[in-house]
Amino acid sequence: MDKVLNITTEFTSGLQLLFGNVKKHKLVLPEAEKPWTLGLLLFWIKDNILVDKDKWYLFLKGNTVRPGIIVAVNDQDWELLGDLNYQIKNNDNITFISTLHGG
Amino acid sequence: MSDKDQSTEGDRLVPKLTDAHVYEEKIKKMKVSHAAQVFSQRVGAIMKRITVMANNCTPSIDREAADTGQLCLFVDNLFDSANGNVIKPTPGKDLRSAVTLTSPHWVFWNKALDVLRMINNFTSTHSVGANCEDDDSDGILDNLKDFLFNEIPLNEENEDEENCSAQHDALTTFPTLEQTGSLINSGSRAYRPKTGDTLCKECFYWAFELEIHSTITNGKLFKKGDVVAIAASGGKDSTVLAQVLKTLNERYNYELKLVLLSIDEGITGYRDDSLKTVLENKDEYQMPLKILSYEQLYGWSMDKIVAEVGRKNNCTFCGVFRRQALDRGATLLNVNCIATGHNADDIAETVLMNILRGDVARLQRCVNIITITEGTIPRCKPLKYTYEKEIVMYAYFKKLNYFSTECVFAPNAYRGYARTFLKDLERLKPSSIMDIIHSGETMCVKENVKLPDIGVCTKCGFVSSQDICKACMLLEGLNRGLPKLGIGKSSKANKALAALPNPSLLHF
Repeated sequence: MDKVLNITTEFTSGLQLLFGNVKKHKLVLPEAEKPWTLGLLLFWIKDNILVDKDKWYLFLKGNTVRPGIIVAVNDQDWELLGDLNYQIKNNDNITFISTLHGG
Repeated sequence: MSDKDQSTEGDRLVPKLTDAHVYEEKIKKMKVSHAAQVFSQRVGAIMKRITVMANNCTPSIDREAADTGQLCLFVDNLFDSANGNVIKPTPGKDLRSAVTLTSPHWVFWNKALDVLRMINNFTSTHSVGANCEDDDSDGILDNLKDFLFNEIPLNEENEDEENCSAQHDALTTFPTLEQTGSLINSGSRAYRPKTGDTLCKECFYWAFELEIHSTITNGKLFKKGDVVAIAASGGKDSTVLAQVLKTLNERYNYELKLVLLSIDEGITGYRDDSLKTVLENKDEYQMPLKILSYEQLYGWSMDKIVAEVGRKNNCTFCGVFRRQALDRGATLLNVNCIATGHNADDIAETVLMNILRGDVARLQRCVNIITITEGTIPRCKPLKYTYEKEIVMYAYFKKLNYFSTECVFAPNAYRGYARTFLKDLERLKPSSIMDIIHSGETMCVKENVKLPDIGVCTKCGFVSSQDICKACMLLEGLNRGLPKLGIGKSSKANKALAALPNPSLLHF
């Protein structure tokens, strides 16, 4: 059975600078024993697609995103979906929006 | 009656009612949940019905129990009428729905006021206890009347159950937070940190804009016919501010003339890019735009200043110069008021910073929603109570075009620490931002503490708490090759200045 997940991630409001200035990334998450959650995805992103690896702390803090970064799954606030525990589905569009910049 | 109900085994009519609800000496603490269980539709209906039924048999129940039941039903209805969370009424709960011009609420409320007046008369004539002062009750009645007839939003369109935007358009008064929260829709998108509500996109826009409208009207920020300069940087806050002010101006007939005012600090790789966004905003929102540059006002761009002073304290120059630059720009444009995009997070950060620095004078000023100093143009902060997260969500959902790069010189700024701390706090307890603002607002200084007098600068004539304003002092330092001159305490700077040759000869 094909357990590979195809998802899209977007990094906006300055976060794209950590990802080679590319906003939109189409990702293929490999088959895993445990179901893919947002919590797992964050660290997978850090290990696999983060370009500016020295600055990972601008993206993550502890086991989650740095406070001030908003996460939306298909335009829904992740805080409504169980945040780190949300189980990723095929074709999900996950957006990371930074609020940590001047106004 | 409760005793009888409890004497049965497992088949109670009112299972939630306990002794702690009924016997005065057992009532632990007055709580809303307790009251809701007593004044419930079920308790009221059963009490009334049983009394009627029981009077046909023996032994009969006191007839007054039916009236008590009626009272319970009345209070339940009153709660429902102000607490509706669905658009269409459900059977048996007619009042727990949106208020429309033809809904039963109006008839009920008129009757309810009569009933409450009766209760009021009854309690004031019967009460003899010293703790029963009958002065408050009229006030409470007036408040309630005011609330029911003026505060509850009116829903004129009541046909489309799915589409809550129709409801929003009809709303003209500001709902309470409970009411905004009750507009939960199945397609919810955003979680509001300020209120804990979950709202769909349309409801979120509506709540967001209405709160700003309320901030503007409650704070009396603008007068009809005012020309208002929006301090526009191209960033999220000022872009959202321009969008919302334009929307509200049209929706509520503020009759304002809105103009954009931008300051070009001369920061390569930051401001030059962000000004492009402002230019796009100008076309999109059809507002006139004025750009003033540091170079043209002071003869120094931030790039040049940083080359001179280094990366420490550079934000001091930028902040002080920008404040004055906005004043100068506003004078040029002949506006009545400057609106800045400071949001709740910014203000909470500033409160924290001023506490850490022990700056009492600024601590008081920084939370003011509108700052009016004689001889200057008033400044106001319509987004003062708006969370940064919601501003970003609003811009994201509306796909607003804004510029989002952190200033290249900012990473060493003191504010960064306050910001990180605040964001950590917000994650633990979202209300902490409002709590900090509230603390700032309620803080007051003992009367005998001397605060600086606000006057004008003897050199440039702009507002200052010193003889020579900070901007002139900083500029003098730059021009004399002593960039540290204006940094730190002004008394030191004054001494240093006096020691220089030709102290009175300031370069401009």
